Amino acid sequence: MSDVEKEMTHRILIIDDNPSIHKDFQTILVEEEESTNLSALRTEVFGGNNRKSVPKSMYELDFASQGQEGCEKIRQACAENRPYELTFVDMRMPPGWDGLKTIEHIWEIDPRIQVVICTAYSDYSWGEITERLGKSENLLILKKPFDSAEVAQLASSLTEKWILARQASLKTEQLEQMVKERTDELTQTNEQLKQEIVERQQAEQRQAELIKEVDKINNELKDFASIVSHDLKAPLRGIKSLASWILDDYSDKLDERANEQMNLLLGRVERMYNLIDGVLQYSRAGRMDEKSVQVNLDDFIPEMIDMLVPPENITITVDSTMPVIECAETHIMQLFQNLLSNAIKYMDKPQGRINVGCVEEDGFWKFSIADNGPGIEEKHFEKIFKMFQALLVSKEFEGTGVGLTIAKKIVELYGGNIWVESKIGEGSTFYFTLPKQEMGVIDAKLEANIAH
Amino acid sequence: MQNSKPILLIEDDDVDVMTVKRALRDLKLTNQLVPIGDGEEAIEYLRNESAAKPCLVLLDLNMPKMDGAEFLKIVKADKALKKIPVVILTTSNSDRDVIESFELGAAGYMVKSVDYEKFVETIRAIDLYWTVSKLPSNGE
Repeated sequence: MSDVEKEMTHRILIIDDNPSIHKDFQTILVEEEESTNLSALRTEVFGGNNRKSVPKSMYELDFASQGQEGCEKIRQACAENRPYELTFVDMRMPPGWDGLKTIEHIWEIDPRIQVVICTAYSDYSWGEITERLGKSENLLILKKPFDSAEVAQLASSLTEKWILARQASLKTEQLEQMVKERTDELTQTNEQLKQEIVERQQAEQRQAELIKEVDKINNELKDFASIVSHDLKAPLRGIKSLASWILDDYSDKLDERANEQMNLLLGRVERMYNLIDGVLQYSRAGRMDEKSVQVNLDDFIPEMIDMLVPPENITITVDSTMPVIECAETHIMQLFQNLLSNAIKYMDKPQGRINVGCVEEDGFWKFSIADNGPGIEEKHFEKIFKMFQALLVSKEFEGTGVGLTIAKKIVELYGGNIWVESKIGEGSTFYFTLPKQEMGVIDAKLEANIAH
Repeated sequence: MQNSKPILLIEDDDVDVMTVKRALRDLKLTNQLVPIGDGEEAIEYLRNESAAKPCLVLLDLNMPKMDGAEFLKIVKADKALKKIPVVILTTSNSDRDVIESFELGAAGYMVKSVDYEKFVETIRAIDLYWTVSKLPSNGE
């Protein structure tokens, strides 16, 4: 039997101690079923859908003579997954259980089965029956002797009811399943979120540890530069002393060439010393040991120029539009000092002119330090900002060679830029920019400043 | 110097020892210079009854074995030695070293100059100071 045919066949169990009743049901539900009468009736009751699908025999009948036997059949039908849809139960079935007791047992086995209780006597009132069995929508009473049309109608509508009830319960199950799936999904998402929170916390902790580590390395680096420089300086000092003593004590005994070589040696020692000092200066530059403050450049720049004590042949002018900026005083001082002292140091004109200017451009202050000095070849524009380049580029450069490198480090620390424009013989202009806003950001950056 | 007792120089760098010797010679100081390369040996020397007690100790900070700070601790805890003035003569410019030295009882703190002429000036200043300043008699 295919599934479809199974669906079309309604299983009905007749529980009655009287075999002739079995026969009656057989006659009414199986043999008369084929009559168009009933078929038409069925169509009338349940609409046209059934017309073409009405099989020869709609019902599969089983019979039991006693309540216990009936229960056994119902149990077996459930086990086979072919449950009865409807059972007709006689009220009086000596010597065994009566109808009520049978029904009690039946519903324990299969609560969905539709039950019609058949009785000829008023053994129990409706009230007594519902008191025993509870108020059930699955229970009907059929008075004997019964009319065959009544039986056929009951069978038809109750089996249909059973199927509708089953469909409804399947739908409910489906819905419940969907709800369960969604709930599971939510639970899973929730778990994932929890996991993500944990991972995030772990990441944050790791980050805190890394920052701590970076701070430590940073401090070690700061120490490292000064220790190394210190240790490098010590033997150099010895070399210098010895060389100068040889010159002091024996220059008259040395020939001209030896004297010259000793002087060259001392010059190199001096240069080495300056290089080490440069490393030290560079590693110290841009350290954030001091907090940012408001610096009024209108006052600050003239003071700084005073400190540099420019020679009389050099005139330094400052534009009247200097802003108030927020930064570490040491930084801004190193910046202007390095740029101005370079302009003074390399001035080659009898009438030296240096001008400090500032304009606002795209959210930045753009500072300029322009001189009419010797100028710089374009091929050196980039190089001069690199460490020790000044020392290597030209012999006339006497500084430590890190002045411009330090200036660049400071400017970049604040998120600005530094560059030079120049024409040989006419002079150079050094530009640098500092952002007008974002002071909070700069502070944060400075806090995390790594000794480069 | 107020007297002609020896000056004890605790210094592990030979060239630095030569520099001090040379500076004393250039300044025409007659005090004998006793150079010792390590704090431990210097303590032994100071505790040696037969050796003449110095009028002044010049002490380097960075040394192998016993460094300057340890030497200071021991000397300043020693009743017989604590009155000898100890002047730090070092390359270290760090504030921490300066503070620690004075806390440990140093009588002065001089930074060695790279430049010999300046170094001579430093020694001259030490000599001048300890000529003007009273010195303990070492109980002799």
